[in-house]
Amino acid sequence: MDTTNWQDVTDLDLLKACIPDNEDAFAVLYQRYEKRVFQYLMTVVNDAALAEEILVEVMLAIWKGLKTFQGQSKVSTWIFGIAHHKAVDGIRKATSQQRGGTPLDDILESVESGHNPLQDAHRHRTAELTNQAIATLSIDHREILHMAFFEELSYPEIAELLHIPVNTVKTRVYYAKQQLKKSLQHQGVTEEML
Amino acid sequence: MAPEQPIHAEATLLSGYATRTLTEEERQHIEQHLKTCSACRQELQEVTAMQAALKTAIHQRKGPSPAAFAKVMNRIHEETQPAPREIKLGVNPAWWERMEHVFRSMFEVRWAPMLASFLIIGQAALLLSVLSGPGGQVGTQPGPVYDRGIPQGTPAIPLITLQVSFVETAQEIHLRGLLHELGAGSSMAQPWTADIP
Repeated sequence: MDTTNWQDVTDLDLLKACIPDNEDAFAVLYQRYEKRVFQYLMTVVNDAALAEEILVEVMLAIWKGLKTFQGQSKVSTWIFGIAHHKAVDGIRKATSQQRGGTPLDDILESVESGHNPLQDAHRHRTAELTNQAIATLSIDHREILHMAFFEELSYPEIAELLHIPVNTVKTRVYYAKQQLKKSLQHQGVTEEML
Repeated sequence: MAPEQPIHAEATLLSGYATRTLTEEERQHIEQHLKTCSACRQELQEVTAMQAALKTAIHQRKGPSPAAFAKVMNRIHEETQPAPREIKLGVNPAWWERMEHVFRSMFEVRWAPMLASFLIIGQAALLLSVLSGPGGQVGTQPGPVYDRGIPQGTPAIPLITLQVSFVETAQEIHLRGLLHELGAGSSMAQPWTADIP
């Protein structure tokens, strides 16, 4: 199959195309999930170098587990479930090694040139403060906000990959949002700025 | 401090409502509730604003380095290659364990190319040796048929065709005389042999 056609293939078909050991298909799957998984890991571990280390582990686990995917959940749920487990392992190891975090300033991209430099600078500053506010939350809260707000996963999907009841997901998202609101206020970000 | 309780049970479904991930039944229930609850409408506004802010913030983060994919593929190739089996001996290995260790080491995969090279070179050397004969120089001796079974140092037998014809009236004395002239020996009683240069 031509790689250009793979761009239109569903995640499930792409996953099947990776078996047995099709590196071209896997490269497409990697490209599709690389940044999403990395951003999720950044939200959880808040360290670019560690996030990349875990990303490699996640992708390796996906490659090795291709044949074990049963198709009972969405491919994205399966992948983020692996990422969740690897992130937990990574945090445990990093904590035991007393690894320091990377300042959030270092992980922010430079602002692309826009039509209104003042507006761009303001947006960039707000994003920076929001990232700092997210970093002050507990791991549980920032992880669930990432899944609910950024990945837009449903409550049952989040429950499945975190192995917690659906009602716990609903209340945790609610409290995480309340904490983010407080943290943003603490950073000086008002609702009008968002 | 205990966390603030949700104003309504419906408030815990508002993020799902904002991201359109509720079931149809839940969605209809929330829409009905929002018509009469201003607090939840305010809460929904906050959820929507914060979701947008969080998305913008996360999108502005750097992605992984371009080398990440190469790292993944290197790890895949490393892990899928069969690793040479490491044989570890105990503190006091038995003699058969030591022998097994030696033999297994000899037949490790990494030895195979070297062993094959030695075999090929050895076979080529053996073939050259056979072709060159005992003298060690190909082409200087009469040929392998004459050399077989002849001890080293024995002069090669010259190949000479001798055609002799006698007239019908030739007597034994004439034949003896001819052989004598050719140097076939002097004894009259023994069989005649002739070394003709």
